[in-house]
Amino acid sequence: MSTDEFDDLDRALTSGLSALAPEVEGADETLASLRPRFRRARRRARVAKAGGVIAALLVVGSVATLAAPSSQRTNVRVSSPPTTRERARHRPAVSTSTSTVRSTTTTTAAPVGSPTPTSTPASGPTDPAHGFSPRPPTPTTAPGTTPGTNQPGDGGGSGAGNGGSHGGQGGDGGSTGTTVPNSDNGVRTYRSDGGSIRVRFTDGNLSLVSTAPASGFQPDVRKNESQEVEVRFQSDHTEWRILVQVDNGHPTVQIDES
Amino acid sequence: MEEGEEAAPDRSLDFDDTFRRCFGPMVRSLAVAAGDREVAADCVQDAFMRAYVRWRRVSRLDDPVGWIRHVAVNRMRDHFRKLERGGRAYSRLNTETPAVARPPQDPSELAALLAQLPQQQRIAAALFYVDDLSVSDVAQAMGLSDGAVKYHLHAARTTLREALEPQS
Repeated sequence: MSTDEFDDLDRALTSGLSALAPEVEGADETLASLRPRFRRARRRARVAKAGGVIAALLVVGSVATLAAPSSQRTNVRVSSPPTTRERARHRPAVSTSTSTVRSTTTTTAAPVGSPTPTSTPASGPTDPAHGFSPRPPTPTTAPGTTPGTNQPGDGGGSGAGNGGSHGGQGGDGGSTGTTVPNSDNGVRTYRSDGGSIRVRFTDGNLSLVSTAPASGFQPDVRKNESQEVEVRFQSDHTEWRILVQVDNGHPTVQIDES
Repeated sequence: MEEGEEAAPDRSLDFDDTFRRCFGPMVRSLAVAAGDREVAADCVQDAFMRAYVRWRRVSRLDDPVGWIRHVAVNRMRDHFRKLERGGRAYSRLNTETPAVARPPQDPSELAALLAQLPQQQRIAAALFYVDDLSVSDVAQAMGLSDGAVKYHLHAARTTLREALEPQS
């Protein structure tokens, strides 16, 4: 088969197939009719692209927000008081932690060899007769949420920083403030607007565990005796006093402002 | 703002010129390959619409028309694929296959043989003979190598020769 035969065949195919092809006319009219459709398609594409960019920015922002260190979350974690059992296990000489939320300074005194503010052993048998029977060591995560099943007349307390719940405790015979019983070894927390203290009541004796002044207040331990603990929180304008006494084998608290 | 307003009509002008120049030949060649003018027109229109959406990028290509033709050919392959899937579904149901593969409009022997060709041979023959493209252009439009296009053209020509030998 020669090259001319191939060319003839190609020419025949070109003419034959071109004869089968339909005539297409009116490209301008077709373009005019298609132009709205083209514009809609371009608008949809732009909207989709903008939506994708916005979604990507939202995702990146969310991830950055979650990944960034949050001081508030850290403060919430710090504000949860450590249990006495944990403190007895670690037995620190004196530990001080500062929370930026309330500028709270917690001073923890070791039970052995520490002159202030306590001299009571960290652990010991509790006195069921005084209503401080030992509880299972369930950790207290938020003050005021621990049910006072073993605390007669316990008002249940309120959250940290509650400045308006005066008179919220009843069983201790106190007048104002908030009492939050801790779950371990008879340690109780008494709160006022000027700060809070933690007092351990074992074997009919009181011992001051720690003080936590509120922002702008300074703690002043007036008495730290076995039958009476008095702490004052002083600021430039006001002074709060928390007085815990043993009355007929039961602790009573008086919280007032002067 | 003035630059954008001036630039937009320029791009639109280029697109319009390309459309006027290439729409008809593309539809003609793909109509031979598809056996249906409307299907070919839909594929070419869809290709031009995609080019319009991203015309700023497409117009900077070395061969914008080749890009549009390639998209149109792919659209037509999708159409063939849908037809094949539909035909297989009907065969599985043991029902009579509907006339999804339309008989050629021209009942000539050449059209009948063309309709029997595999789609790759049909497309290659249509682009090569009707659109008068080179082998490399056909290869670019079909996404194949030059050798593969030559193979398809040879196979198509061998089949179609049967209808054309008495004439040639």
